[in-house]
Amino acid sequence: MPHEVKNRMDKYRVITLLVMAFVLFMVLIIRFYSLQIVNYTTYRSEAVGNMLNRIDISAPRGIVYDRQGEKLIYNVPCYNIVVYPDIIKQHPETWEKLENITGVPIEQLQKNMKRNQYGSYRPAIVLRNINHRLNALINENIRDLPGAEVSFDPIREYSDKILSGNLLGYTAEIRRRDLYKYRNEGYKLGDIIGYDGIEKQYEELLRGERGYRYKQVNSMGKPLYDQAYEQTNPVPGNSLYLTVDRELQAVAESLLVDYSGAAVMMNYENGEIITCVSSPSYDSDMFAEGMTQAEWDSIAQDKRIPLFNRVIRGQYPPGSIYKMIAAMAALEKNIITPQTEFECTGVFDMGGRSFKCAHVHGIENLNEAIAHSCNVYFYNVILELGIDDWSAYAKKMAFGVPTGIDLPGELPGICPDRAFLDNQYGRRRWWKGMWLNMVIGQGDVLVTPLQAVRYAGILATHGKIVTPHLLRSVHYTKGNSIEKPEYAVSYVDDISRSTWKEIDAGMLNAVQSNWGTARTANVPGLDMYGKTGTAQNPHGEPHGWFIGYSKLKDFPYAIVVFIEHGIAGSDVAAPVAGQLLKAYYYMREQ
Amino acid sequence: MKFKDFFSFKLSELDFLSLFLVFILTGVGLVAIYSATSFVGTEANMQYFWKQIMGIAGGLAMFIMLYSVRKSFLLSYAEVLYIIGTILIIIPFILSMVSSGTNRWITLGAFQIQPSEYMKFILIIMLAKVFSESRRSPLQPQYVLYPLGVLAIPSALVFLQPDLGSTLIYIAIFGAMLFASGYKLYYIFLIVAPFITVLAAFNSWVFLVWGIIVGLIIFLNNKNILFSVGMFLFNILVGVMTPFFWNGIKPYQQQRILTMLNPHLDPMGAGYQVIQSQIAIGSGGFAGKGFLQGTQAHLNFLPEQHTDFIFSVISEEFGFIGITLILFVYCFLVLRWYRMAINARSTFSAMLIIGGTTALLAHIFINVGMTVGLLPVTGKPLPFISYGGSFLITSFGLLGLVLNGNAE
Repeated sequence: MPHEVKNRMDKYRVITLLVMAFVLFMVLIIRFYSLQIVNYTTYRSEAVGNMLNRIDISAPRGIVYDRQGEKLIYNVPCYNIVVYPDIIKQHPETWEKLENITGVPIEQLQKNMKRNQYGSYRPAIVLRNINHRLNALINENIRDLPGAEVSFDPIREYSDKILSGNLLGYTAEIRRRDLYKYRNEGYKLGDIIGYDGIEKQYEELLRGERGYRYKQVNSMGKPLYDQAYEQTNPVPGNSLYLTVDRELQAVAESLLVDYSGAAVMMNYENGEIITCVSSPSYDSDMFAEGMTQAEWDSIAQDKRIPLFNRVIRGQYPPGSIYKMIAAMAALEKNIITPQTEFECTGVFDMGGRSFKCAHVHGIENLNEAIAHSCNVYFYNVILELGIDDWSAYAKKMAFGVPTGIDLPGELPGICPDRAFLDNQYGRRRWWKGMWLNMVIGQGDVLVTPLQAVRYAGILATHGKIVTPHLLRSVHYTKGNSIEKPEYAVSYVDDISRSTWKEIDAGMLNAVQSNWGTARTANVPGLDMYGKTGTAQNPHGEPHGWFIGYSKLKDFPYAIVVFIEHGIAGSDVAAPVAGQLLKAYYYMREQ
Repeated sequence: MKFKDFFSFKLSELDFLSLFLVFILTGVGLVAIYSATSFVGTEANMQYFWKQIMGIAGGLAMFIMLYSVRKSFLLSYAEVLYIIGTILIIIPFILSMVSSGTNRWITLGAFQIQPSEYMKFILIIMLAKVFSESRRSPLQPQYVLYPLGVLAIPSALVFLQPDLGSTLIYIAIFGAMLFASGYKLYYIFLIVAPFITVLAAFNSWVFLVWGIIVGLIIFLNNKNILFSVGMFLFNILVGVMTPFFWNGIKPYQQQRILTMLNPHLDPMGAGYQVIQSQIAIGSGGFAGKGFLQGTQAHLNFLPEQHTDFIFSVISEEFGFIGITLILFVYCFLVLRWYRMAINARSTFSAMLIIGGTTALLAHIFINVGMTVGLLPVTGKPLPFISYGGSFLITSFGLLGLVLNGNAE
């Protein structure tokens, strides 16, 4: 056997190894220090993110009340059939049973699942808003339906008493293109969002804050327990109190039910809209419950275009309601005095063309011209006045710009001036005959019913320009506080008192004299002022207008009624306006 | 020859402190395995726990064998053992040609033998013999050639299995023993330099500086001008060839190497394990989440959590305090064993100690370095703590060699 050799190992080499080993351990400990002490917070949150799967709890949207505190929009429970994709994959027989119970073909159910699915472990809705019978059936057979269950979601319900889809809007699942548009505001696939009307305008206030339920999951994302690990409750949306009166809204809808048109009543002192009807309208509930193709077609293809809010988007020639602008301008510019008279022979010749009047009015002063709505009088006025002063006064009446109402999609109308005509027809390519059309609210002049009611308000207040609005106050869920928004007010202060009085006098006679064109609007005791308009249009019968206001103390309301193809303003528009004011007057009395 | 000529159990010279601390580590291992194998929603799987205890028993048997074996026997039969060990490594290759399967294991009934594990003992014994022979001088450059050959055969075979981790362990054992043998540092530098050159070649500035250093060291240390120039040119050639080689290999191979160096490049693949391991460790914080409270482990985010990544489980549940304590125990043991080499009776004994200790240290550093993301994922378990009977036997066997070297 070989001998062992005496240890002749270099001591310092061993000590070097020893030191190197020590250094290696120190490196490891420093690394642990860095991971566990220095970067603890980062890794801690990553570990929490690993183990918890966040499940959203949708927040109920805010409730919308009318000015009396009646509910216009609220939430009701809605039951949906949902499936868990991972479980139902293992139990394909559930699909057949679901088909038998619901009567919906398997292919449709599976298509719905695919559309609403994100992740294998999150429930996907296959059938929305099932009725109570179906809900009961599913729950009775839940043991035979592995992977399926009924989930509960709040959905929007709109007051049955009114049909003001245009005003209130509707909610629906967010569309894909909107998802992209609003991606920074935290919307997700399947979220409900407001479309149109109040629902869209106040989406931010109404939507509330989503809550979360955290479930512990394994590394495959599969939830481990039934109960939630942690829960953040959703914050319901804020409540809105509107300026509209539900009862009056219903009256207005019933008065307009046979017509296409619009009616708006506004408090001319503060801009509160009491009623705001565009007819025909649609039922917002149809959208909330998920409409069928047939239902959608019936709305979208209706020739009377119910989805079109005439109050803010309908731009029409105003007809004679526009005449007061020329009257004011001419008085202010001393072109005429209240005593100035022109003779109406029923026709006015200019440049080889005849411009007509409704009647042969004979010799009339300003007051009579307004009350009788004589065109010839104003043809004479505009030729002396000129377009520049006239259009300046139309702008003072805030035409040609949106009113700023809190509804989406308002259009500005057209308030033509010299620049407009130059631009439209070319410099010196237009002639003064166009003025004659414009001065009686025809030709290129276009206004929305909402602009018309504000104009009535300006006339009533002798120059106060309010911002028409629908939101009276917000009741915030957080902090339980109430906020009343402020709305801009401005004044027309360069029109003399005598001019305003002249306009008042003309409009008073139009309503309250036996020979006034708007006498059908008169409500005895309401101190009514008004003016009708009959706007020729190339699409058929003329449109009928009425604007007016009450000068009664404590009843500061201006009104517009517009009837598409309503022939003369005095035929339908003026009586509807009268009935509406009267209805509200007596409603308030009670 | 009697049994006594081969074995003697030297109870009085046994280092009980080492054994005691090792048992503490196996206890920690049992606790961690219990935790790592109990998942949320299921009962703890006691099967692993009991199997580990059986593994410890097997390890003790191997410890007693390698502690008791006489060094004279080892010196006499080192070459025989080496040849047997090498053949055993080759056998799985032949078996895998006949029937498809992995190259690492030999299955004998219920048992599986992993020859590369036993080769660690044999390599240490063989190298200890080679390095303790006095007929060659460590001051001659050719001193390294024979032991290098001894290393090369099993390393190459194991690398082809492929088992990079074991190859690195063999190289570490060899390196430490070569260093301890007193081989001239200059020659060691000549061996190591080309590997550093490869790394340096990826940046032209680093390569330039490194080239100057290599040149200076070579020309200052050697009088044989031909040898010096040759060595220098060899290093330069290696450096110049490296980019060609790198660009020559397939992109997926490049990717694999880069992922090895930076796991975050591939978060769902090989990098996933390391990232999840780091999350487990980092989220443990100072005091840990508590026994059985580790979310990463119990929700099954950690891969191989009872074997290769057991240290992550411990880090998550017992925090920086627990980890520091365990690392100090390891460090204390390793330093204590290295120190034994100084006072060993013979060079052979000292070499056994150096080899065994280095093997254990390399396992610890490779495993822990992997769980904290400092080293590539090679799948090496942690001595005395990780689950697995086969590796427990290896670890206790290495301990046996070390304490055997210390005895007598």
